[in-house]
Amino acid sequence: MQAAPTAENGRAQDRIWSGWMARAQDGDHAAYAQLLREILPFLRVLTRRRCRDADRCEDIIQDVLLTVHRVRHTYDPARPFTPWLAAICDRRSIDALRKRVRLGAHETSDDRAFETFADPAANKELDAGDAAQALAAMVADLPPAQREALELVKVKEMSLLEASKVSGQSVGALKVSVHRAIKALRLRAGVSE
Amino acid sequence: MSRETEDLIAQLTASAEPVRRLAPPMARALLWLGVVALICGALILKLSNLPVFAARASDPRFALELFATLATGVAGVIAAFHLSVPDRDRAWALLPAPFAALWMGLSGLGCWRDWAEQTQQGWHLGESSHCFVFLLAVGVPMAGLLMFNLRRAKPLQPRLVATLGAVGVAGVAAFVLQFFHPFDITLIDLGSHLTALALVIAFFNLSGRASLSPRA
Repeated sequence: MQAAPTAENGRAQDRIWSGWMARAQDGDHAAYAQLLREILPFLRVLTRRRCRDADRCEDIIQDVLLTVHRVRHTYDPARPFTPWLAAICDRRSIDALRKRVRLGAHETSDDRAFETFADPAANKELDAGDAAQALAAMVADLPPAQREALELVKVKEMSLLEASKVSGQSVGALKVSVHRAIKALRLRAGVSE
Repeated sequence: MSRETEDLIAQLTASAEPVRRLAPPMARALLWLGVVALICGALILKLSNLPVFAARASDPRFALELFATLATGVAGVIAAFHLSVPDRDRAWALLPAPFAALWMGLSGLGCWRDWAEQTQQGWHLGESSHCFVFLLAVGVPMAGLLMFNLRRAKPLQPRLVATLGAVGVAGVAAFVLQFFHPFDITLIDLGSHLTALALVIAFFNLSGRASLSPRA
Protein backbone atom coordinates (compact mmCIF):
# COMPACT_ATOMS: atom_id res chain seq x y z
CA MET A 1 0.00 0.00 0.00
CA GLN A 2 1.27 3.45 -0.91
CA ALA A 3 2.27 5.68 2.01
CA ALA A 4 0.17 8.80 2.58
CA PRO A 5 1.85 11.77 0.89
CA THR A 6 3.37 14.21 3.34
CA ALA A 7 3.80 17.91 2.73
CA GLU A 8 7.54 17.41 2.19
CA ASN A 9 6.90 14.58 -0.30
CA GLY A 10 4.45 16.84 -2.09
CA ARG A 11 6.97 19.66 -2.32
CA ALA A 12 9.69 17.29 -3.55
CA GLN A 13 7.35 15.88 -6.20
CA ASP A 14 6.36 19.39 -7.22
CA ARG A 15 10.01 20.35 -7.70
CA ILE A 16 10.54 17.29 -9.92
CA TRP A 17 7.44 18.02 -12.01
CA SER A 18 8.39 21.68 -12.24
CA GLY A 19 11.84 20.72 -13.51
CA TRP A 20 10.38 18.37 -16.11
CA MET A 21 7.96 21.04 -17.30
CA ALA A 22 10.73 23.62 -17.59
CA ARG A 23 12.71 21.13 -19.70
CA ALA A 24 9.60 20.33 -21.75
CA GLN A 25 9.18 24.07 -22.45
CA ASP A 26 12.71 24.01 -23.84
CA GLY A 27 11.76 21.12 -26.15
CA ASP A 28 12.92 18.08 -24.12
CA HIS A 29 10.56 15.35 -25.39
CA ALA A 30 11.67 12.71 -22.86
CA ALA A 31 11.04 14.98 -19.87
CA TYR A 32 7.65 15.93 -21.31
CA ALA A 33 6.60 12.30 -21.84
CA GLN A 34 7.71 11.43 -18.31
CA LEU A 35 5.80 14.38 -16.87
CA LEU A 36 2.57 13.58 -18.73
CA ARG A 37 2.69 9.95 -17.54
CA GLU A 38 3.60 10.83 -13.95
CA ILE A 39 0.79 13.35 -13.50
CA LEU A 40 -1.94 10.88 -14.54
CA PRO A 41 -2.58 9.42 -11.03
CA PHE A 42 -2.76 12.95 -9.61
CA LEU A 43 -5.24 13.96 -12.34
CA ARG A 44 -7.32 10.82 -11.67
CA VAL A 45 -7.65 11.74 -7.99
CA LEU A 46 -8.71 15.29 -8.90
CA THR A 47 -11.22 14.28 -11.59
CA ARG A 48 -12.82 11.56 -9.43
CA ARG A 49 -13.85 14.31 -7.00
CA ARG A 50 -16.22 15.71 -9.59
CA CYS A 51 -16.98 12.64 -11.70
CA ARG A 52 -17.68 9.04 -10.75
CA ASP A 53 -17.84 7.48 -14.18
CA ALA A 54 -14.40 6.09 -15.10
CA ASP A 55 -14.85 6.66 -18.85
CA ARG A 56 -15.90 10.26 -18.36
CA CYS A 57 -12.94 10.78 -16.01
CA GLU A 58 -10.62 9.48 -18.70
CA ASP A 59 -12.18 11.91 -21.23
CA ILE A 60 -11.59 14.80 -18.82
CA ILE A 61 -8.00 13.69 -18.22
CA GLN A 62 -7.37 13.63 -21.97
CA ASP A 63 -8.86 17.12 -22.22
CA VAL A 64 -6.57 18.26 -19.38
CA LEU A 65 -3.52 16.81 -21.18
CA LEU A 66 -4.49 18.66 -24.36
CA THR A 67 -4.95 21.90 -22.42
CA VAL A 68 -1.61 21.45 -20.62
CA HIS A 69 -0.05 21.08 -24.06
CA ARG A 70 -1.75 24.20 -25.44
CA VAL A 71 -0.96 26.47 -22.49
CA ARG A 72 2.40 25.02 -21.42
CA HIS A 73 4.05 28.35 -22.27
CA THR A 74 2.08 30.01 -19.43
CA TYR A 75 3.80 27.95 -16.73
CA ASP A 76 6.38 29.98 -14.81
CA PRO A 77 9.12 27.63 -13.45
CA ALA A 78 9.67 30.07 -10.58
CA ARG A 79 6.22 29.09 -9.25
CA PRO A 80 4.93 25.68 -8.02
CA PHE A 81 3.71 23.35 -10.77
CA THR A 82 0.94 21.50 -8.89
CA PRO A 83 -1.42 24.51 -8.42
CA TRP A 84 -0.97 25.35 -12.11
CA LEU A 85 -1.92 21.80 -13.11
CA ALA A 86 -4.74 21.56 -10.54
CA ALA A 87 -6.25 24.82 -11.83
CA ILE A 88 -6.33 23.42 -15.38
CA CYS A 89 -7.84 20.14 -14.18
CA ASP A 90 -10.43 21.95 -12.09
CA ARG A 91 -11.42 24.17 -15.00
CA ARG A 92 -11.74 21.29 -17.43
CA SER A 93 -13.75 19.21 -14.91
CA ILE A 94 -16.19 22.10 -14.45
CA ASP A 95 -16.42 22.61 -18.22
CA ALA A 96 -17.18 18.89 -18.69
CA LEU A 97 -19.83 18.99 -15.98
CA ARG A 98 -21.45 22.08 -17.50
CA LYS A 99 -21.40 20.51 -20.94
CA ARG A 100 -23.06 17.38 -19.60
CA VAL A 101 -25.76 19.36 -17.83
CA ARG A 102 -26.32 21.46 -20.96
CA LEU A 103 -26.57 18.42 -23.21
CA GLY A 104 -28.80 16.68 -20.67
CA ALA A 105 -31.17 19.65 -20.69
CA HIS A 106 -31.48 19.79 -24.48
CA GLU A 107 -30.88 16.27 -25.74
CA THR A 108 -32.57 12.91 -25.22
CA SER A 109 -30.80 9.62 -25.68
CA ASP A 110 -32.39 7.50 -28.39
CA ASP A 111 -30.94 4.09 -29.18
CA ARG A 112 -32.44 4.24 -32.66
CA ALA A 113 -30.12 7.18 -33.35
CA PHE A 114 -27.28 4.68 -33.45
CA GLU A 115 -28.88 2.83 -36.38
CA THR A 116 -26.68 3.08 -39.44
CA PHE A 117 -29.51 3.83 -41.86
CA ALA A 118 -32.83 5.59 -41.46
CA ASP A 119 -34.62 2.65 -43.10
CA PRO A 120 -34.89 -0.15 -40.48
CA ALA A 121 -34.85 -2.82 -43.20
CA ALA A 122 -31.45 -1.57 -44.36
CA ASN A 123 -30.08 -1.96 -40.84
CA LYS A 124 -31.50 -5.48 -40.64
CA GLU A 125 -29.74 -6.39 -43.85
CA LEU A 126 -26.49 -4.97 -42.54
CA ASP A 127 -26.88 -6.85 -39.25
CA ALA A 128 -27.83 -9.98 -41.17
CA GLY A 129 -24.60 -9.73 -43.14
CA ASP A 130 -22.57 -9.55 -39.92
CA ALA A 131 -24.52 -12.48 -38.44
CA ALA A 132 -23.95 -14.57 -41.59
CA GLN A 133 -20.20 -13.95 -41.38
CA ALA A 134 -20.13 -15.00 -37.74
CA LEU A 135 -22.20 -18.12 -38.47
CA ALA A 136 -19.93 -19.07 -41.38
CA ALA A 137 -16.91 -18.82 -39.08
CA MET A 138 -18.60 -21.06 -36.49
CA VAL A 139 -19.58 -23.63 -39.14
CA ALA A 140 -15.99 -23.67 -40.42
CA ASP A 141 -14.85 -24.63 -36.91
CA LEU A 142 -17.09 -27.72 -36.77
CA PRO A 143 -15.57 -31.21 -37.24
CA PRO A 144 -15.56 -32.16 -41.00
CA ALA A 145 -18.27 -34.86 -40.71
CA GLN A 146 -20.65 -32.56 -38.83
CA ARG A 147 -19.94 -29.65 -41.20
CA GLU A 148 -20.63 -31.78 -44.29
CA ALA A 149 -23.84 -33.21 -42.81
CA LEU A 150 -25.09 -29.74 -41.88
CA GLU A 151 -24.32 -28.26 -45.31
CA LEU A 152 -25.99 -31.08 -47.20
CA VAL A 153 -29.11 -31.48 -45.05
CA LYS A 154 -29.77 -27.95 -43.76
CA VAL A 155 -28.11 -25.60 -46.28
CA LYS A 156 -28.65 -27.54 -49.53
CA GLU A 157 -31.89 -29.02 -48.10
CA MET A 158 -31.16 -32.55 -49.39
CA SER A 159 -33.08 -35.49 -48.01
CA LEU A 160 -31.17 -37.78 -45.63
CA LEU A 161 -31.04 -40.43 -48.37
CA GLU A 162 -29.60 -38.05 -50.98
CA ALA A 163 -27.10 -36.70 -48.46
CA SER A 164 -26.11 -40.24 -47.57
CA LYS A 165 -25.38 -41.02 -51.21
CA VAL A 166 -23.30 -37.80 -51.67
CA SER A 167 -21.35 -38.05 -48.43
CA GLY A 168 -21.06 -41.79 -48.05
CA GLN A 169 -22.27 -41.50 -44.44
CA SER A 170 -25.15 -43.66 -43.22
CA VAL A 171 -28.53 -42.04 -42.66
CA GLY A 172 -28.21 -42.65 -38.91
CA ALA A 173 -24.73 -41.11 -38.82
CA LEU A 174 -26.01 -38.07 -40.76
CA LYS A 175 -28.87 -37.56 -38.28
CA VAL A 176 -26.46 -37.68 -35.34
CA SER A 177 -23.95 -35.36 -37.09
CA VAL A 178 -26.63 -32.75 -37.93
CA HIS A 179 -27.99 -32.87 -34.37
CA ARG A 180 -24.51 -32.46 -32.84
CA ALA A 181 -23.58 -29.67 -35.28
CA ILE A 182 -26.69 -27.66 -34.41
CA LYS A 183 -26.09 -28.22 -30.69
CA ALA A 184 -22.48 -27.03 -31.04
CA LEU A 185 -23.54 -23.92 -32.96
CA ARG A 186 -26.19 -23.05 -30.37
CA LEU A 187 -23.58 -23.43 -27.65
CA ARG A 188 -21.07 -21.18 -29.40
CA ALA A 189 -23.69 -18.55 -30.26
CA GLY A 190 -24.86 -18.53 -26.65
CA VAL A 191 -28.41 -19.55 -27.60
CA SER A 192 -30.25 -21.63 -25.01
CA GLU A 193 -32.01 -24.86 -26.04
CA MET B 1 -3.60 4.07 -18.45
CA SER B 2 -6.02 3.55 -21.34
CA ARG B 3 -4.73 2.92 -24.83
CA GLU B 4 -6.24 6.23 -26.04
CA THR B 5 -4.52 8.21 -23.26
CA GLU B 6 -1.24 6.48 -24.04
CA ASP B 7 -1.60 7.36 -27.74
CA LEU B 8 -2.48 10.94 -26.85
CA ILE B 9 0.64 11.31 -24.69
CA ALA B 10 2.75 9.92 -27.54
CA GLN B 11 1.21 12.43 -29.98
CA LEU B 12 1.62 15.38 -27.62
CA THR B 13 5.21 14.44 -26.85
CA ALA B 14 6.05 14.10 -30.53
CA SER B 15 4.67 17.57 -31.26
CA ALA B 16 6.23 19.30 -28.22
CA GLU B 17 8.35 22.00 -29.84
CA PRO B 18 10.19 24.50 -27.60
CA VAL B 19 7.91 27.33 -26.46
CA ARG B 20 8.62 30.92 -25.45
CA ARG B 21 7.59 31.36 -21.82
CA LEU B 22 5.06 34.07 -21.12
CA ALA B 23 6.32 36.97 -18.99
CA PRO B 24 4.69 37.35 -15.54
CA PRO B 25 1.17 38.84 -15.75
CA MET B 26 2.08 42.02 -13.85
CA ALA B 27 4.95 42.73 -16.24
CA ARG B 28 2.66 42.18 -19.24
CA ALA B 29 -0.04 44.39 -17.72
CA LEU B 30 2.42 47.20 -16.99
CA LEU B 31 3.85 46.96 -20.50
CA TRP B 32 0.36 47.26 -22.01
CA LEU B 33 -0.51 50.17 -19.72
CA GLY B 34 2.83 51.82 -20.53
CA VAL B 35 2.24 51.64 -24.28
CA VAL B 36 -1.32 52.97 -23.89
CA ALA B 37 -0.05 55.74 -21.57
CA LEU B 38 2.51 56.80 -24.17
CA ILE B 39 -0.06 56.94 -27.00
CA CYS B 40 -2.74 58.64 -24.92
CA GLY B 41 -0.19 60.98 -23.31
CA ALA B 42 0.95 62.14 -26.76
CA LEU B 43 -2.68 62.70 -27.84
CA ILE B 44 -3.49 64.61 -24.64
CA LEU B 45 -0.42 66.86 -24.94
CA LYS B 46 -1.15 67.53 -28.59
CA LEU B 47 -4.91 67.93 -28.59
CA SER B 48 -6.32 68.68 -25.13
CA ASN B 49 -6.63 71.95 -23.26
CA LEU B 50 -4.48 71.25 -20.21
CA PRO B 51 -5.04 74.57 -18.34
CA VAL B 52 -8.80 73.96 -18.41
CA PHE B 53 -8.26 70.42 -17.22
CA ALA B 54 -5.94 71.60 -14.41
CA ALA B 55 -8.56 74.10 -13.26
CA ARG B 56 -11.23 71.38 -13.13
CA ALA B 57 -8.89 68.94 -11.38
CA SER B 58 -8.51 71.41 -8.50
CA ASP B 59 -12.03 70.37 -7.43
CA PRO B 60 -11.41 67.53 -4.92
CA ARG B 61 -14.54 65.65 -6.00
CA PHE B 62 -13.48 65.71 -9.63
CA ALA B 63 -9.89 64.76 -8.74
CA LEU B 64 -11.18 61.79 -6.76
CA GLU B 65 -13.48 60.78 -9.62
CA LEU B 66 -10.54 61.02 -12.00
CA PHE B 67 -8.47 58.80 -9.73
CA ALA B 68 -11.32 56.25 -9.41
CA THR B 69 -11.78 56.15 -13.20
CA LEU B 70 -8.09 55.55 -13.87
CA ALA B 71 -7.80 53.08 -10.98
CA THR B 72 -10.76 51.10 -12.36
CA GLY B 73 -9.05 50.92 -15.74
CA VAL B 74 -5.64 49.95 -14.37
CA ALA B 75 -7.13 47.42 -11.92
CA GLY B 76 -9.29 45.85 -14.66
CA VAL B 77 -6.30 45.44 -16.97
CA ILE B 78 -4.08 44.01 -14.20
CA ALA B 79 -6.82 41.58 -13.11
CA ALA B 80 -7.40 40.46 -16.71
CA PHE B 81 -3.70 39.71 -17.23
CA HIS B 82 -3.48 37.83 -13.94
CA LEU B 83 -6.53 35.68 -14.61
CA SER B 84 -5.40 34.94 -18.15
CA VAL B 85 -2.95 32.36 -16.73
CA PRO B 86 -4.28 29.24 -14.99
CA ASP B 87 -2.87 29.37 -11.47
CA ARG B 88 -3.85 32.85 -10.28
CA ASP B 89 -6.39 33.40 -7.51
CA ARG B 90 -9.91 34.25 -8.71
CA ALA B 91 -9.97 37.01 -6.08
CA TRP B 92 -8.10 39.12 -8.65
CA ALA B 93 -11.49 39.54 -10.35
CA LEU B 94 -12.61 41.74 -7.44
CA LEU B 95 -9.71 44.17 -7.79
CA PRO B 96 -11.52 46.77 -9.95
CA ALA B 97 -14.80 46.55 -7.98
CA PRO B 98 -14.13 49.16 -5.23
CA PHE B 99 -12.69 51.66 -7.72
CA ALA B 100 -15.59 51.11 -10.12
CA ALA B 101 -18.07 51.66 -7.28
CA LEU B 102 -16.29 54.89 -6.32
CA TRP B 103 -16.21 56.03 -9.95
CA MET B 104 -19.94 55.38 -10.45
CA GLY B 105 -20.80 56.95 -7.11
CA LEU B 106 -18.87 60.15 -7.83
CA SER B 107 -20.22 60.37 -11.37
CA GLY B 108 -23.70 60.04 -9.93
CA LEU B 109 -22.94 62.79 -7.43
CA GLY B 110 -21.74 65.03 -10.28
CA CYS B 111 -24.95 64.33 -12.16
CA TRP B 112 -27.03 65.13 -9.13
CA ARG B 113 -25.24 68.47 -8.66
CA ASP B 114 -25.75 69.23 -12.33
CA TRP B 115 -29.42 68.29 -12.05
CA ALA B 116 -29.83 70.66 -9.08
CA GLU B 117 -28.40 73.51 -11.17
CA GLN B 118 -30.46 72.56 -14.21
CA THR B 119 -33.72 72.84 -12.31
CA GLN B 120 -32.87 76.50 -11.60
CA GLN B 121 -31.38 77.39 -15.00
CA GLY B 122 -33.40 75.19 -17.33
CA TRP B 123 -32.24 72.05 -19.15
CA HIS B 124 -29.44 71.93 -21.68
CA LEU B 125 -27.79 69.08 -23.43
CA GLY B 126 -24.13 68.36 -22.79
CA GLU B 127 -21.63 67.18 -25.38
CA SER B 128 -23.01 63.70 -25.23
CA SER B 129 -22.76 62.78 -28.88
CA HIS B 130 -19.08 63.81 -29.08
CA CYS B 131 -18.27 61.87 -25.92
CA PHE B 132 -20.08 58.84 -27.25
CA VAL B 133 -18.04 58.83 -30.45
CA PHE B 134 -14.84 59.60 -28.51
CA LEU B 135 -15.30 56.68 -26.12
CA LEU B 136 -15.95 54.29 -28.98
CA ALA B 137 -13.05 55.67 -31.06
CA VAL B 138 -10.63 55.31 -28.14
CA GLY B 139 -12.13 52.22 -26.50
CA VAL B 140 -12.48 49.88 -29.46
CA PRO B 141 -8.84 50.08 -30.70
CA MET B 142 -7.66 49.84 -27.09
CA ALA B 143 -9.83 46.75 -26.62
CA GLY B 144 -8.35 45.23 -29.77
CA LEU B 145 -4.81 45.84 -28.53
CA LEU B 146 -5.62 44.35 -25.12
CA MET B 147 -7.28 41.30 -26.64
CA PHE B 148 -4.25 40.74 -28.86
CA ASN B 149 -2.03 40.73 -25.75
CA LEU B 150 -4.33 38.60 -23.59
CA ARG B 151 -4.78 36.07 -26.35
CA ARG B 152 -1.22 34.82 -26.04
CA ALA B 153 -2.08 33.23 -22.68
CA LYS B 154 -5.07 31.29 -24.12
CA PRO B 155 -7.09 31.92 -20.92
CA LEU B 156 -9.05 29.03 -19.45
CA GLN B 157 -11.85 31.43 -18.47
CA PRO B 158 -12.23 33.61 -21.57
CA ARG B 159 -15.51 35.20 -20.43
CA LEU B 160 -14.14 36.38 -17.11
CA VAL B 161 -10.92 37.65 -18.67
CA ALA B 162 -12.86 39.40 -21.44
CA THR B 163 -15.16 41.08 -18.91
CA LEU B 164 -12.27 42.28 -16.76
CA GLY B 165 -10.40 43.50 -19.83
CA ALA B 166 -13.51 45.35 -20.96
CA VAL B 167 -13.86 47.05 -17.57
CA GLY B 168 -10.18 48.00 -17.79
CA VAL B 169 -10.54 49.48 -21.27
CA ALA B 170 -13.72 51.30 -20.24
CA GLY B 171 -11.95 52.90 -17.26
CA VAL B 172 -8.90 53.98 -19.24
CA ALA B 173 -11.02 55.36 -22.12
CA ALA B 174 -13.25 57.27 -19.68
CA PHE B 175 -10.16 58.70 -17.97
CA VAL B 176 -8.70 59.93 -21.27
CA LEU B 177 -12.08 61.44 -22.16
CA GLN B 178 -11.86 63.73 -19.15
CA PHE B 179 -9.00 65.66 -20.82
CA PHE B 180 -11.30 66.48 -23.74
CA HIS B 181 -14.45 67.06 -21.71
CA PRO B 182 -14.16 70.52 -20.15
CA PHE B 183 -17.32 70.33 -18.01
CA ASP B 184 -18.92 68.16 -15.36
CA ILE B 185 -21.02 65.44 -16.83
CA THR B 186 -24.78 65.77 -16.99
CA LEU B 187 -27.27 62.97 -16.54
CA ILE B 188 -27.54 62.67 -20.31
CA ASP B 189 -23.73 62.62 -20.59
CA LEU B 190 -23.56 59.85 -18.02
CA GLY B 191 -26.17 57.88 -19.98
CA SER B 192 -24.22 58.31 -23.19
CA HIS B 193 -20.93 57.41 -21.46
CA LEU B 194 -22.46 54.29 -19.97
CA THR B 195 -23.97 53.31 -23.33
CA ALA B 196 -20.62 53.76 -25.08
CA LEU B 197 -18.81 51.83 -22.35
CA ALA B 198 -21.45 49.10 -22.54
CA LEU B 199 -20.80 48.88 -26.29
CA VAL B 200 -17.04 48.64 -25.69
CA ILE B 201 -17.63 45.95 -23.06
CA ALA B 202 -20.01 44.08 -25.39
CA PHE B 203 -17.51 44.31 -28.26
CA PHE B 204 -14.75 43.03 -26.03
CA ASN B 205 -16.88 40.25 -24.61
CA LEU B 206 -18.32 39.03 -27.87
CA SER B 207 -15.06 39.03 -29.78
CA GLY B 208 -13.04 38.09 -26.71
CA ARG B 209 -14.95 34.93 -25.86
CA ALA B 210 -14.14 33.41 -29.20
CA SER B 211 -10.63 34.71 -29.71
CA LEU B 212 -9.52 34.20 -26.11
CA SER B 213 -10.75 30.62 -25.97
CA PRO B 214 -7.87 28.19 -25.35
CA ARG B 215 -9.19 26.16 -28.28
CA ALA B 216 -8.97 29.12 -30.66
